[in-house]
Amino acid sequence: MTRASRLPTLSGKETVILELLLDGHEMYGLELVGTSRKRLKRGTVYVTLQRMEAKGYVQSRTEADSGEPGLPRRLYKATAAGRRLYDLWTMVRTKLQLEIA
Amino acid sequence: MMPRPGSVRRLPGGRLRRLAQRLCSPETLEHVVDPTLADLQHEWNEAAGRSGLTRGCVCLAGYAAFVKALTLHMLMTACRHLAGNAFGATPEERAFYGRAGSATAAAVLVQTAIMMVTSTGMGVRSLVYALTHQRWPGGPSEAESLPRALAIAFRPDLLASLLPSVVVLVLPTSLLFGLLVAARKSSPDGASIRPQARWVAGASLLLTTAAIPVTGWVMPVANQNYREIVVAELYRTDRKANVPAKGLRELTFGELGDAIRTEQGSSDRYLAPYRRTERHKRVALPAACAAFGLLAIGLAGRMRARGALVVGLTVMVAAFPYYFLLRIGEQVLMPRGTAPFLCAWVANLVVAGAAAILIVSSRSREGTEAEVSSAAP
Repeated sequence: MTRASRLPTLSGKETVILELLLDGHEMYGLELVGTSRKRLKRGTVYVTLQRMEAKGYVQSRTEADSGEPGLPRRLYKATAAGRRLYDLWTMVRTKLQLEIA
Repeated sequence: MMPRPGSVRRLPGGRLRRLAQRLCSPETLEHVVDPTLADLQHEWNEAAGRSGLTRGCVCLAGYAAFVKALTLHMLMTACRHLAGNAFGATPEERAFYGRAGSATAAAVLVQTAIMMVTSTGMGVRSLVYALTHQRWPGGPSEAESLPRALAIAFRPDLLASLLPSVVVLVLPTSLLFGLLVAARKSSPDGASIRPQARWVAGASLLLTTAAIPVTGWVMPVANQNYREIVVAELYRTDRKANVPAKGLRELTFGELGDAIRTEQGSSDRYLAPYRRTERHKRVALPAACAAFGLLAIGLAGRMRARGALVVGLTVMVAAFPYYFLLRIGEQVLMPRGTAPFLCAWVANLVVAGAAAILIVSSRSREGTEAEVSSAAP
């Protein structure tokens, strides 16, 4: 099976990130970690987000100048493809769980 | 993404960012380094009114996240690169890596065979001594000692128990041999295809990662098996009835950690430096693949069109000080109270240092050669 024909999948961390970004809010990495109730770690969140952005599940932009000193934060939001995949993924998972039970 | 002028210097992470700018690609800088450091700096700003301890904790957590993120990113990039370009991008590169892989595998086989014969020979000698001087009833006569020792030493399960420690020991020098053998053959246009630093780093990292479970868990279990078999054969008892106590080399990574934690609260801490050195050694031995990979990059330019004998001798010249320094670290530095880290890593550090010098000197030599050839009419 070639890479192009592979079914898109979501890892556990990717599912958590999409779940948190579903309502269309933009969030930065540490904010995602804080609201994930320890399901995400701050050492891995940006690597996961970078991979998700490459796959087209999220998009990011640099925060506008907030007047605070320091580097500007990078804000992430789910793309339409990411949201659709999340919906399908959770639906399939729920159905599978029901079938197995 | 550029820092706001005049702001980063006062905040933590400025130096780390400057270092990352030199080492990382712009994409990594934008998507991993800057966001991680931005979080650290904003958290630091928010903790401005709090105690120094709180700000210190914020800094430590931020730095730990930065190191973890970058390490993970590098590992993933190396694996992706290897998966994408495992056998090179051009036919010359593919031929180079094919030669390197097969030469490394051949070197592992040959060196393992030599080491197995040597170790088994030494084992036979010790067994003959033990059988001749044993003080318990039912032992063999002097004439029977050698055949019995040979029968024990060549038991397949005993030989299999020796294998993990031997393979781990020969892996770094085999990698060096493989890369140098591949580098000595020139491409059709006469220029040697030197091992690409990124590929060698990826391969060394993979070998190191694969070897750590061997030194941490497989090797100690195999060593203990070896001892149990020998004791059972010597005493002619059931293997599980007379289990010898585990020595340092028979403790797994977890058992070593437990022993170190237990002894921290006790007054008898004689074995502490030995255990700590052994624990460092379990990582240092596999990491030697990375050090020898670097050495291959430094030496590759010098191996152009050389014979296999020169390559073999070069590997021996590199391997001898390495193994010598391993012993020095263990038997000279450790009893004198040197830090366990240094005792275990001294050999790797020396090899990596020598590799760095060779890489720098070969780069400057290539630069001079390029200048001369461009100046020639």
